[in-house]
Amino acid sequence: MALTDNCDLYGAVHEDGFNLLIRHFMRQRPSWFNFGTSRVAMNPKLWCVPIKPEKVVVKRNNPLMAVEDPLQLPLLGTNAVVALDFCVQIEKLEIDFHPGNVIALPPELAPPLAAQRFALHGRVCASIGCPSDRLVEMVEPPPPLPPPKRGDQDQGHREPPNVIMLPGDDFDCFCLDLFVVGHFEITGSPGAQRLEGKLDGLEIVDIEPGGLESAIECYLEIVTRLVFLPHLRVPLTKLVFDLLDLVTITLTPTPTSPALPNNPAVEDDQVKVFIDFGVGP
Amino acid sequence: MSHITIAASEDAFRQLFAALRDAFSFADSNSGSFAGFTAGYSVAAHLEGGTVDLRADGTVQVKELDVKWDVLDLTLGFDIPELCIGGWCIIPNPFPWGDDCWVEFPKICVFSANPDVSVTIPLGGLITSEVSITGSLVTKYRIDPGRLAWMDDWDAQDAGVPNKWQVFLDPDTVDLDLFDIADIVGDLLMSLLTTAIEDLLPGPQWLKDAILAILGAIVDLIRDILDLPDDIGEWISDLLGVSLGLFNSIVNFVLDYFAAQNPIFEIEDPYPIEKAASVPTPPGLIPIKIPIRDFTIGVDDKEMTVTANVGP
Repeated sequence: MALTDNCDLYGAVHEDGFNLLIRHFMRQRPSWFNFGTSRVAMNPKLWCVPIKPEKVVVKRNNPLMAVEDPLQLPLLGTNAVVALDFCVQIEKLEIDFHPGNVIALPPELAPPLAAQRFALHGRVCASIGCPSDRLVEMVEPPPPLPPPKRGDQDQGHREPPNVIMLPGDDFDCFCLDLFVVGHFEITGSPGAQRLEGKLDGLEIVDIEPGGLESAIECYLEIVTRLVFLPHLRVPLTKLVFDLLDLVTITLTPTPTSPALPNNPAVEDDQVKVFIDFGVGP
Repeated sequence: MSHITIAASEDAFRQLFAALRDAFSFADSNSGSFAGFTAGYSVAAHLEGGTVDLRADGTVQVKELDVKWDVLDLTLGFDIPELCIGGWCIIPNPFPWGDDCWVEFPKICVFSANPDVSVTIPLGGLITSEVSITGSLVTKYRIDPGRLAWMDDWDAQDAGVPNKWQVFLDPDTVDLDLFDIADIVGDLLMSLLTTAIEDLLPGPQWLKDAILAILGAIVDLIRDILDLPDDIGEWISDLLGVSLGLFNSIVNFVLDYFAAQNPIFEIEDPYPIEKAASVPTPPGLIPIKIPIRDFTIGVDDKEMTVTANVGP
């Protein structure tokens, strides 16, 4: 059977290639995988894990870590927040296309990996810079919130909070293993279609109690859906290119049919895309 | 199993072939000198018809592709031997002194220029020809000669000298057949030449007639000068194809087009991935580049398959 029996063009990427691709991304664009406050970014001793970039990244002064604002946590009962240094690093990221043979899924994600699904495993290490007792004692406690006035229609309104920056001394790192199961879909209207990953399940291993685990998983699901998966989008309509400067080729996804039940298909350790082909002047 | 597999069906090739054929055009000119005459051509052509076939032996065949001549002007210039009439003495001088001749018949010379006659035959539309090509798709790795030893892959990209994987159509055979020249070409050539020669003759029509009576039939004259065979179409075909090398020129053009100068596809190595996603590289950051290894192309009777691995 030919690869193009049901389409004009066929494309497939094997999980081994994808994982090498991820490794190149991590080494050439480390600031997509490492985050911290400016104080953390400038001091490798405060990092949870060393960053191993390509030489050219250092040679051209590309950042190793994306600089983020300090982590702001409310001081409950006051109109103040405490701003803390932090570090979050994605140490490892790998993908496994059905059948699962790269990533050992936790029981919560019902292994083995289901048909037409992919699994992601990320190891995330993080820390919060805990300020010294001495530094905390030097801060004057913020006054409590004033009681709401009677008849005040805008009780939710508050003045901007006072930010108390507390540089951390003690960076105790912890690492979490994050597992994701998902699938690929072709989304968007004709002419603006794209290949993107969709989240089916997410699990963090070994966090107690269960409620804390659920809360963190909720947050990470939001980050995955809104930040990470969009990075994997491939705009199919942009796959237009000139050949010999004579003709323009436009690629559109082949519609599914009984002969082609899945497009894209996740099988044989690959993600496969089936494309119809248009040629114009 | 390869990390990346891309396949294109034979039908995709047919669509692509049709589009490339419709967009392709060719133009050329040349000239040469031969015994007693000069010849040159100016041509412009486009392509029609033909088929493309992926074959089980790993080759791609383009068959019976018609070359349509939008312009095929054949210019012939003839140097006719000079012919003079008159100049003889009507009344000789009977005395031993003075000029030998008192009254001479005026001397008229024709065909003194070189060439004397130049005509252009518009053969476009009167000639049919077709081309067939059989070739293999081959991949080559090109290290840009402008790349200096100290350059890393990013320096090379900045300098416009990145290494590349290139795909060429390596033609095994290129046949251009000129299989029909319309019969009217011979008559057209003779008519143009007769008119041009008559225009060269001086004086009023009675004088032209007198000179022509001396020269004999122009057609015979031209045939003698050019040593033309009975089949003028065959003679023109040889002139264009063999003497002037027009068809070699086209074959060479096709060969060059698909040979070293013109890869039909090329890809930088390492490949700047943001280019694939049409995403601009953030200012100040290096482009992410993915090394490509083991880039190969295979053809069978159903599809063409490209495979590659991602380098470490």
